[in-house]
Amino acid sequence: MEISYYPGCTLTGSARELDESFRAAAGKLGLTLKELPDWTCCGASSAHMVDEFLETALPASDLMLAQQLGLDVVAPCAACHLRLKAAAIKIAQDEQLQAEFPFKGEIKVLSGLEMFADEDRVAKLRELTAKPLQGLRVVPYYGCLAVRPPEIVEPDDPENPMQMDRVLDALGAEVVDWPYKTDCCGGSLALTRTDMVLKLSRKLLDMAKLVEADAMVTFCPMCQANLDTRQEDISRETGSLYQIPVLYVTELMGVAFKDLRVRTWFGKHMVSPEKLLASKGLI
Amino acid sequence: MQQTGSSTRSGKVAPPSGELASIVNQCYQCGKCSAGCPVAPEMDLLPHQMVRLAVMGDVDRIVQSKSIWLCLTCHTCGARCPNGIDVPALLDPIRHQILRGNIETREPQVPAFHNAFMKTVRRFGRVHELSLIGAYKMKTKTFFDDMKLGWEMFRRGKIHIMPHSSKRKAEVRELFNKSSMK
Repeated sequence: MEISYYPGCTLTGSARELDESFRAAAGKLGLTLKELPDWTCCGASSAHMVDEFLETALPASDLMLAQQLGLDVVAPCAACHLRLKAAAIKIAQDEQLQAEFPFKGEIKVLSGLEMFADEDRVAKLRELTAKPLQGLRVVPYYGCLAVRPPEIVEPDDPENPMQMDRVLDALGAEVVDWPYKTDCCGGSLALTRTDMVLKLSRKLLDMAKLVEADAMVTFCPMCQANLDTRQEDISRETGSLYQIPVLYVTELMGVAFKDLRVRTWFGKHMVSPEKLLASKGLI
Repeated sequence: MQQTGSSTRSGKVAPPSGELASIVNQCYQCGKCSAGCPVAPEMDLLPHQMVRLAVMGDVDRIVQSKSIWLCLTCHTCGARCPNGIDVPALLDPIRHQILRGNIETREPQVPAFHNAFMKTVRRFGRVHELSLIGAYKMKTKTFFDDMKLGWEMFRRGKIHIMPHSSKRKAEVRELFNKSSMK
Protein backbone atom coordinates (compact mmCIF):
# COMPACT_ATOMS: atom_id res chain seq x y z
CA MET A 1 0.00 0.00 0.00
CA GLU A 2 1.26 3.47 -0.90
CA ILE A 3 0.96 6.51 1.35
CA SER A 4 2.46 9.91 0.68
CA TYR A 5 4.89 11.11 3.31
CA TYR A 6 5.35 14.59 4.76
CA PRO A 7 8.44 14.46 7.01
CA GLY A 8 8.44 18.16 7.88
CA CYS A 9 11.46 20.24 8.88
CA THR A 10 12.11 18.76 12.32
CA LEU A 11 12.47 15.24 10.92
CA THR A 12 15.31 16.43 8.69
CA GLY A 13 17.12 17.97 11.68
CA SER A 14 16.66 17.39 15.39
CA ALA A 15 14.31 14.41 14.94
CA ARG A 16 16.22 12.44 12.33
CA GLU A 17 15.87 9.27 14.37
CA LEU A 18 12.09 9.62 14.10
CA ASP A 19 12.33 9.95 10.31
CA GLU A 20 14.63 6.94 9.97
CA SER A 21 12.76 4.70 12.41
CA PHE A 22 9.39 5.72 10.97
CA ARG A 23 10.45 4.80 7.44
CA ALA A 24 11.93 1.52 8.69
CA ALA A 25 8.78 0.53 10.60
CA ALA A 26 6.48 1.48 7.73
CA GLY A 27 8.60 -0.60 5.34
CA LYS A 28 8.40 -3.58 7.66
CA LEU A 29 4.61 -3.28 7.63
CA GLY A 30 4.59 -3.30 3.84
CA LEU A 31 3.74 0.39 3.47
CA THR A 32 5.49 2.31 0.71
CA LEU A 33 6.07 5.91 1.74
CA LYS A 34 6.28 8.40 -1.14
CA GLU A 35 7.89 11.59 0.14
CA LEU A 36 6.05 14.66 -1.15
CA PRO A 37 8.36 16.18 -3.76
CA ASP A 38 9.81 19.53 -2.68
CA TRP A 39 7.54 19.87 0.32
CA THR A 40 7.76 23.12 2.29
CA CYS A 41 7.33 24.08 5.95
CA CYS A 42 3.81 23.80 7.40
CA GLY A 43 4.27 26.89 9.59
CA ALA A 44 4.34 24.73 12.75
CA SER A 45 3.77 26.60 16.01
CA SER A 46 4.68 29.98 14.55
CA ALA A 47 2.56 30.78 11.47
CA HIS A 48 -0.74 30.87 13.36
CA MET A 49 0.82 33.31 15.82
CA VAL A 50 1.79 35.84 13.17
CA ASP A 51 -0.57 35.70 10.21
CA GLU A 52 -3.95 34.18 9.47
CA PHE A 53 -3.34 33.67 5.75
CA LEU A 54 0.03 31.95 6.17
CA GLU A 55 -1.40 29.71 8.89
CA THR A 56 -3.47 28.02 6.18
CA ALA A 57 -1.52 28.82 2.99
CA LEU A 58 1.74 27.16 4.05
CA PRO A 59 0.23 23.73 4.84
CA ALA A 60 -2.26 24.11 1.97
CA SER A 61 0.56 24.13 -0.56
CA ASP A 62 1.71 20.76 0.83
CA LEU A 63 -1.82 19.37 0.73
CA MET A 64 -1.88 20.26 -2.97
CA LEU A 65 1.27 18.14 -3.51
CA ALA A 66 -0.37 15.15 -1.81
CA GLN A 67 -3.50 15.65 -3.89
CA GLN A 68 -1.41 15.57 -7.06
CA LEU A 69 -0.02 12.20 -5.99
CA GLY A 70 -3.57 11.07 -5.23
CA LEU A 71 -2.47 9.37 -2.02
CA ASP A 72 -3.41 9.78 1.65
CA VAL A 73 -0.67 11.68 3.41
CA VAL A 74 0.95 10.79 6.72
CA ALA A 75 2.73 13.38 8.87
CA PRO A 76 4.62 11.83 11.83
CA CYS A 77 5.20 15.19 13.55
CA ALA A 78 2.20 16.10 15.70
CA ALA A 79 2.45 19.80 14.82
CA CYS A 80 2.67 19.16 11.06
CA HIS A 81 -0.28 16.78 11.27
CA LEU A 82 -2.39 19.37 13.08
CA ARG A 83 -1.46 22.15 10.64
CA LEU A 84 -2.22 20.05 7.54
CA LYS A 85 -5.53 18.87 8.94
CA ALA A 86 -6.55 22.34 10.12
CA ALA A 87 -5.78 23.71 6.65
CA ALA A 88 -7.92 21.02 4.99
CA ILE A 89 -10.85 22.02 7.23
CA LYS A 90 -10.37 25.78 6.65
CA ILE A 91 -10.22 25.33 2.87
CA ALA A 92 -13.45 23.31 2.91
CA GLN A 93 -15.19 26.19 4.71
CA ASP A 94 -13.81 29.14 2.76
CA GLU A 95 -14.50 29.80 -0.90
CA GLN A 96 -11.69 32.29 -1.31
CA LEU A 97 -9.15 29.79 0.01
CA GLN A 98 -10.69 27.11 -2.16
CA ALA A 99 -10.13 29.24 -5.25
CA GLU A 100 -6.48 29.61 -4.34
CA PHE A 101 -5.92 26.05 -3.11
CA PRO A 102 -8.38 23.75 -4.88
CA PHE A 103 -7.93 20.94 -2.37
CA LYS A 104 -10.89 18.61 -2.71
CA GLY A 105 -10.50 16.77 0.57
CA GLU A 106 -10.62 13.37 -1.10
CA ILE A 107 -7.37 12.22 0.44
CA LYS A 108 -6.93 11.72 4.17
CA VAL A 109 -4.36 13.38 6.41
CA LEU A 110 -3.08 10.73 8.84
CA SER A 111 -1.05 11.06 12.00
CA GLY A 112 1.75 8.59 12.54
CA LEU A 113 -0.13 7.02 15.42
CA GLU A 114 -3.31 6.71 13.40
CA MET A 115 -1.38 4.90 10.68
CA PHE A 116 0.18 2.35 13.05
CA ALA A 117 -2.74 1.97 15.47
CA ASP A 118 -5.14 0.73 12.82
CA GLU A 119 -6.51 -2.63 14.08
CA ASP A 120 -5.02 -4.80 11.34
CA ARG A 121 -1.65 -3.11 11.64
CA VAL A 122 -1.53 -3.61 15.40
CA ALA A 123 -2.10 -7.32 14.76
CA LYS A 124 0.68 -7.23 12.21
CA LEU A 125 3.03 -5.46 14.64
CA ARG A 126 2.36 -8.24 17.14
CA GLU A 127 3.11 -10.83 14.48
CA LEU A 128 6.33 -9.10 13.36
CA THR A 129 7.66 -8.73 16.89
CA ALA A 130 10.74 -10.95 17.04
CA LYS A 131 12.03 -9.58 20.33
CA PRO A 132 9.08 -8.78 22.63
CA LEU A 133 9.86 -5.82 24.89
CA GLN A 134 9.29 -7.92 27.97
CA GLY A 135 9.96 -6.29 31.31
CA LEU A 136 10.28 -2.81 29.82
CA ARG A 137 8.02 -0.49 31.81
CA VAL A 138 6.99 2.43 29.64
CA VAL A 139 4.69 5.41 30.04
CA PRO A 140 3.00 6.49 26.81
CA TYR A 141 3.30 10.27 26.47
CA TYR A 142 1.03 11.74 23.79
CA GLY A 143 1.54 15.43 24.57
CA CYS A 144 -0.74 18.19 23.30
CA LEU A 145 -0.98 18.28 19.57
CA ALA A 146 -1.46 14.54 19.11
CA VAL A 147 -4.86 14.95 20.78
CA ARG A 148 -5.79 18.64 20.63
CA PRO A 149 -7.71 20.53 19.36
CA PRO A 150 -9.84 17.35 19.36
CA GLU A 151 -12.26 18.59 16.68
CA ILE A 152 -9.32 18.93 14.27
CA VAL A 153 -6.96 16.12 15.31
CA GLU A 154 -9.82 13.66 15.99
CA PRO A 155 -8.03 11.39 18.49
CA ASP A 156 -9.74 8.27 19.87
CA ASP A 157 -10.10 10.09 23.22
CA PRO A 158 -8.57 13.51 23.99
CA GLU A 159 -8.17 12.89 27.74
CA ASN A 160 -7.25 9.20 27.72
CA PRO A 161 -5.97 8.26 24.27
CA MET A 162 -5.14 4.58 23.78
CA GLN A 163 -3.57 4.33 20.31
CA MET A 164 0.04 4.35 21.50
CA ASP A 165 -0.85 2.08 24.43
CA ARG A 166 -2.16 -0.50 21.97
CA VAL A 167 0.93 -0.30 19.78
CA LEU A 168 3.29 -0.66 22.77
CA ASP A 169 1.26 -3.58 24.07
CA ALA A 170 1.58 -5.29 20.68
CA LEU A 171 5.36 -4.90 20.92
CA GLY A 172 5.29 -6.72 24.26
CA ALA A 173 6.13 -3.76 26.50
CA GLU A 174 4.64 -3.29 29.95
CA VAL A 175 2.45 -0.22 29.45
CA VAL A 176 2.14 1.71 32.71
CA ASP A 177 -0.97 3.77 33.29
CA TRP A 178 -0.16 7.30 34.45
CA PRO A 179 -1.99 10.62 34.78
CA TYR A 180 0.08 12.81 32.44
CA LYS A 181 -0.53 11.21 29.05
CA THR A 182 -1.67 14.49 27.50
CA ASP A 183 -0.19 17.15 29.80
CA CYS A 184 1.92 19.80 28.08
CA CYS A 185 5.74 19.64 28.34
CA GLY A 186 6.05 23.33 27.45
CA GLY A 187 7.75 22.64 24.12
CA SER A 188 6.61 25.80 22.32
CA LEU A 189 8.46 28.01 24.82
CA ALA A 190 11.61 25.81 24.84
CA LEU A 191 13.94 28.64 23.81
CA THR A 192 11.96 31.66 24.93
CA ARG A 193 11.00 30.77 28.52
CA THR A 194 13.27 27.87 29.34
CA ASP A 195 12.71 28.42 33.08
CA MET A 196 9.00 27.61 32.74
CA VAL A 197 9.65 24.70 30.44
CA LEU A 198 12.03 23.12 32.97
CA LYS A 199 9.24 23.17 35.55
CA LEU A 200 6.69 21.61 33.21
CA SER A 201 9.09 18.94 31.96
CA ARG A 202 10.21 18.15 35.48
CA LYS A 203 6.60 17.56 36.53
CA LEU A 204 6.29 14.90 33.81
CA LEU A 205 9.65 13.29 34.58
CA ASP A 206 8.85 13.18 38.31
CA MET A 207 5.60 11.37 37.62
CA ALA A 208 7.36 8.92 35.31
CA LYS A 209 9.79 8.23 38.18
CA LEU A 210 6.94 7.90 40.70
CA VAL A 211 5.22 5.18 38.66
CA GLU A 212 8.63 3.52 38.24
CA ALA A 213 8.72 3.73 34.47
CA ASP A 214 11.96 2.74 32.75
CA ALA A 215 11.31 5.05 29.81
CA MET A 216 8.89 7.55 28.34
CA VAL A 217 7.58 6.94 24.84
CA THR A 218 6.26 9.61 22.52
CA PHE A 219 5.51 10.38 18.89
CA CYS A 220 5.98 14.14 19.07
CA PRO A 221 9.42 15.48 18.08
CA MET A 222 8.99 18.64 20.15
CA CYS A 223 8.12 16.67 23.29
CA GLN A 224 10.97 14.24 22.70
CA ALA A 225 13.55 16.98 22.15
CA ASN A 226 12.33 18.94 25.11
CA LEU A 227 12.21 16.07 27.59
CA ASP A 228 15.42 14.45 26.37
CA THR A 229 17.57 17.59 26.21
CA ARG A 230 16.47 19.25 29.46
CA GLN A 231 17.22 16.46 31.94
CA GLU A 232 20.78 17.64 32.47
CA ASP A 233 19.58 21.15 33.35
CA ILE A 234 16.91 19.74 35.65
CA SER A 235 19.46 17.49 37.37
CA ARG A 236 21.75 20.47 37.92
CA GLU A 237 18.92 22.63 39.29
CA THR A 238 17.49 20.02 41.64
CA GLY A 239 20.64 18.19 42.65
CA SER A 240 19.06 14.82 41.90
CA LEU A 241 19.78 12.74 38.85
CA TYR A 242 17.30 12.66 35.98
CA GLN A 243 18.14 10.05 33.37
CA ILE A 244 14.96 8.71 31.86
CA PRO A 245 15.27 7.76 28.20
CA VAL A 246 12.60 9.35 25.99
CA LEU A 247 12.00 7.15 22.98
CA TYR A 248 9.98 7.40 19.82
CA VAL A 249 7.49 4.58 19.54
CA THR A 250 8.94 3.74 16.11
CA GLU A 251 12.40 3.26 17.66
CA LEU A 252 10.91 0.61 19.94
CA MET A 253 9.38 -1.02 16.88
CA GLY A 254 12.95 -1.24 15.59
CA VAL A 255 14.03 -2.96 18.83
CA ALA A 256 11.11 -5.40 18.61
CA PHE A 257 11.94 -6.12 14.95
CA LYS A 258 15.65 -6.60 15.78
CA ASP A 259 16.57 -3.80 13.41
CA LEU A 260 20.33 -3.23 13.61
CA ARG A 261 19.94 0.48 12.90
CA VAL A 262 18.58 1.13 16.40
CA ARG A 263 22.06 1.89 17.71
CA THR A 264 22.46 4.72 15.21
CA TRP A 265 19.15 6.19 16.34
CA PHE A 266 20.00 5.84 20.02
CA GLY A 267 23.31 7.61 19.39
CA LYS A 268 21.28 10.75 18.71
CA HIS A 269 19.68 10.84 22.14
CA MET A 270 21.03 12.97 24.96
CA VAL A 271 19.91 10.37 27.52
CA SER A 272 20.95 7.16 25.81
CA PRO A 273 18.52 4.26 26.17
CA GLU A 274 21.23 1.71 25.28
CA LYS A 275 22.23 0.78 28.83
CA LEU A 276 18.62 0.33 29.87
CA LEU A 277 17.71 -1.81 26.87
CA ALA A 278 20.86 -3.89 27.21
CA SER A 279 20.14 -4.51 30.91
CA LYS A 280 16.74 -5.92 29.91
CA GLY A 281 18.40 -8.09 27.28
CA LEU A 282 16.57 -6.28 24.47
CA ILE A 283 19.54 -5.12 22.42
CA MET B 1 -20.34 44.96 20.52
CA GLN B 2 -21.39 47.50 23.15
CA GLN B 3 -18.31 48.83 24.84
CA THR B 4 -18.34 50.52 28.19
CA GLY B 5 -15.78 53.00 29.45
CA SER B 6 -13.98 52.96 26.14
CA SER B 7 -12.27 56.28 26.88
CA THR B 8 -9.38 54.44 28.57
CA ARG B 9 -8.93 52.15 25.57
CA SER B 10 -6.43 52.81 22.85
CA GLY B 11 -8.52 51.33 20.03
CA LYS B 12 -5.31 50.09 18.43
CA VAL B 13 -6.35 46.47 18.77
CA ALA B 14 -9.85 45.37 17.86
CA PRO B 15 -11.84 42.98 20.08
CA PRO B 16 -13.05 39.68 18.59
CA SER B 17 -15.69 40.01 15.92
CA GLY B 18 -18.00 37.83 13.85
CA GLU B 19 -18.22 34.14 14.61
CA LEU B 20 -15.34 34.25 17.09
CA ALA B 21 -17.16 36.93 19.13
CA SER B 22 -20.35 34.89 19.26
CA ILE B 23 -18.41 31.88 20.56
CA VAL B 24 -16.46 33.90 23.11
CA ASN B 25 -19.66 35.61 24.31
CA GLN B 26 -20.98 32.27 25.55
CA CYS B 27 -18.44 32.19 28.38
CA TYR B 28 -20.13 31.88 31.79
CA GLN B 29 -16.90 32.08 33.79
CA CYS B 30 -16.77 28.54 35.15
CA GLY B 31 -12.97 28.79 35.26
CA LYS B 32 -12.33 25.34 33.84
CA CYS B 33 -9.82 26.80 31.36
CA SER B 34 -7.75 28.35 34.14
CA ALA B 35 -7.99 25.19 36.27
CA GLY B 36 -6.35 23.11 33.56
CA CYS B 37 -3.92 25.65 32.10
CA PRO B 38 -0.35 24.39 32.60
CA VAL B 39 1.09 27.92 32.76
CA ALA B 40 -1.61 29.48 34.97
CA PRO B 41 0.86 29.84 37.90
CA GLU B 42 3.04 32.10 35.74
CA MET B 43 0.26 34.18 34.22
CA ASP B 44 -0.64 37.75 35.13
CA LEU B 45 -4.09 37.30 33.58
CA LEU B 46 -5.71 33.87 33.80
CA PRO B 47 -7.38 32.36 30.74
CA HIS B 48 -10.95 32.95 32.04
CA GLN B 49 -10.02 36.55 32.82
CA MET B 50 -8.75 37.08 29.28
CA VAL B 51 -12.00 35.69 27.92
CA ARG B 52 -14.00 38.03 30.17
CA LEU B 53 -11.94 41.04 29.08
CA ALA B 54 -12.49 40.10 25.44
CA VAL B 55 -16.26 39.90 26.05
CA MET B 56 -16.10 43.37 27.63
CA GLY B 57 -14.12 44.68 24.66
CA ASP B 58 -11.14 45.52 26.89
CA VAL B 59 -8.45 43.91 24.75
CA ASP B 60 -5.82 46.47 25.76
CA ARG B 61 -5.33 44.66 29.06
CA ILE B 62 -4.74 41.43 27.17
CA VAL B 63 -2.28 43.18 24.86
CA GLN B 64 -0.35 44.50 27.86
CA SER B 65 -0.30 41.15 29.66
CA LYS B 66 2.47 38.60 29.82
CA SER B 67 -0.14 35.89 29.46
CA ILE B 68 -0.81 36.48 25.78
CA TRP B 69 2.74 35.29 25.05
CA LEU B 70 2.98 32.70 27.82
CA CYS B 71 0.05 30.73 26.40
CA LEU B 72 1.64 27.53 25.07
CA THR B 73 -1.16 26.92 22.57
CA CYS B 74 -1.59 23.48 24.14
CA HIS B 75 -5.39 23.78 23.66
CA THR B 76 -6.19 22.14 27.01
CA CYS B 77 -8.60 25.02 27.72
CA GLY B 78 -10.44 24.60 24.43
CA ALA B 79 -10.67 20.83 24.71
CA ARG B 80 -12.34 21.11 28.13
CA CYS B 81 -14.46 24.26 27.74
CA PRO B 82 -18.18 23.41 28.01
CA ASN B 83 -18.88 26.21 25.50
CA GLY B 84 -16.19 25.35 22.96
CA ILE B 85 -14.05 28.43 23.59
CA ASP B 86 -10.43 27.83 22.66
CA VAL B 87 -8.30 30.56 24.26
CA PRO B 88 -5.47 30.35 21.67
CA ALA B 89 -8.07 30.93 18.93
CA LEU B 90 -9.14 34.07 20.78
CA LEU B 91 -5.54 35.23 21.27
CA ASP B 92 -4.22 34.62 17.73
CA PRO B 93 -6.00 37.60 16.08
CA ILE B 94 -4.85 39.84 18.95
CA ARG B 95 -1.27 38.62 18.52
CA HIS B 96 -1.48 39.34 14.78
CA GLN B 97 -2.55 42.92 15.48
CA ILE B 98 0.23 43.43 18.04
CA LEU B 99 2.83 42.31 15.50
CA ARG B 100 1.33 44.29 12.61
CA GLY B 101 1.03 47.43 14.73
CA ASN B 102 4.51 47.02 16.23
CA ILE B 103 2.96 47.43 19.64
CA GLU B 104 5.32 47.09 22.57
CA THR B 105 4.79 43.92 24.59
CA ARG B 106 5.92 42.16 27.72
CA GLU B 107 7.81 38.91 26.98
CA PRO B 108 9.12 40.35 23.65
CA GLN B 109 11.39 37.34 23.16
CA VAL B 110 8.38 35.16 22.31
CA PRO B 111 7.22 37.16 19.27
CA ALA B 112 10.92 37.61 18.35
CA PHE B 113 11.23 33.82 18.14
CA HIS B 114 8.15 33.44 15.95
CA ASN B 115 9.34 36.23 13.67
CA ALA B 116 12.76 34.59 13.33
CA PHE B 117 11.07 31.27 12.58
CA MET B 118 8.92 32.75 9.82
CA LYS B 119 11.91 34.55 8.32
CA THR B 120 13.80 31.30 7.85
CA VAL B 121 10.73 29.75 6.24
CA ARG B 122 10.44 32.77 3.93
CA ARG B 123 14.09 32.44 2.98
CA PHE B 124 14.51 28.68 2.54
CA GLY B 125 10.96 27.35 2.24
CA ARG B 126 11.80 25.22 5.26
CA VAL B 127 13.07 25.81 8.76
CA HIS B 128 16.81 25.76 9.13
CA GLU B 129 17.35 25.30 12.85
CA LEU B 130 20.81 26.90 12.96
CA SER B 131 19.69 30.05 11.10
CA LEU B 132 16.62 30.24 13.30
CA ILE B 133 18.59 29.97 16.53
CA GLY B 134 21.20 32.43 15.24
CA ALA B 135 18.59 35.02 14.24
CA TYR B 136 16.74 34.60 17.53
CA LYS B 137 19.92 35.00 19.58
CA MET B 138 20.92 38.12 17.64
CA LYS B 139 17.52 39.64 18.29
CA THR B 140 17.38 38.79 21.99
CA LYS B 141 21.14 38.97 22.75
CA THR B 142 21.06 35.59 24.50
CA PHE B 143 24.23 34.32 22.82
CA PHE B 144 25.46 32.12 25.64
CA ASP B 145 22.26 30.30 26.63
CA ASP B 146 22.27 26.61 25.77
CA MET B 147 25.71 26.70 24.12
CA LYS B 148 26.68 23.33 25.53
CA LEU B 149 23.37 21.81 24.49
CA GLY B 150 23.80 23.22 20.98
CA TRP B 151 27.22 21.62 20.72
CA GLU B 152 25.90 18.25 21.99
CA MET B 153 23.12 18.34 19.39
CA PHE B 154 25.54 19.27 16.63
CA ARG B 155 27.80 16.39 17.64
CA ARG B 156 24.85 14.03 17.27
CA GLY B 157 24.10 15.22 13.75
CA LYS B 158 20.91 17.02 14.79
CA ILE B 159 21.94 20.49 13.68
CA HIS B 160 23.03 21.10 10.10
CA ILE B 161 25.38 23.86 9.04
CA MET B 162 23.83 24.17 5.59
CA PRO B 163 20.10 24.70 5.10
CA HIS B 164 18.04 22.15 3.18
CA SER B 165 16.06 24.54 1.06
CA SER B 166 13.03 23.45 -0.93
CA LYS B 167 12.94 23.87 -4.69
CA ARG B 168 9.55 25.41 -4.16
CA LYS B 169 10.90 28.25 -2.04
CA ALA B 170 9.90 30.83 -4.68
CA GLU B 171 6.32 29.65 -4.33
CA VAL B 172 6.57 30.05 -0.57
CA ARG B 173 7.86 33.57 -1.01
CA GLU B 174 4.81 34.33 -3.16
CA LEU B 175 2.59 33.22 -0.29
CA PHE B 176 4.48 35.49 2.09
CA ASN B 177 4.01 38.38 -0.34
CA LYS B 178 0.25 37.95 -0.03
CA SER B 179 0.45 38.11 3.76
CA SER B 180 1.30 40.69 6.40
CA MET B 181 4.91 39.37 6.36
CA LYS B 182 5.84 40.80 2.95
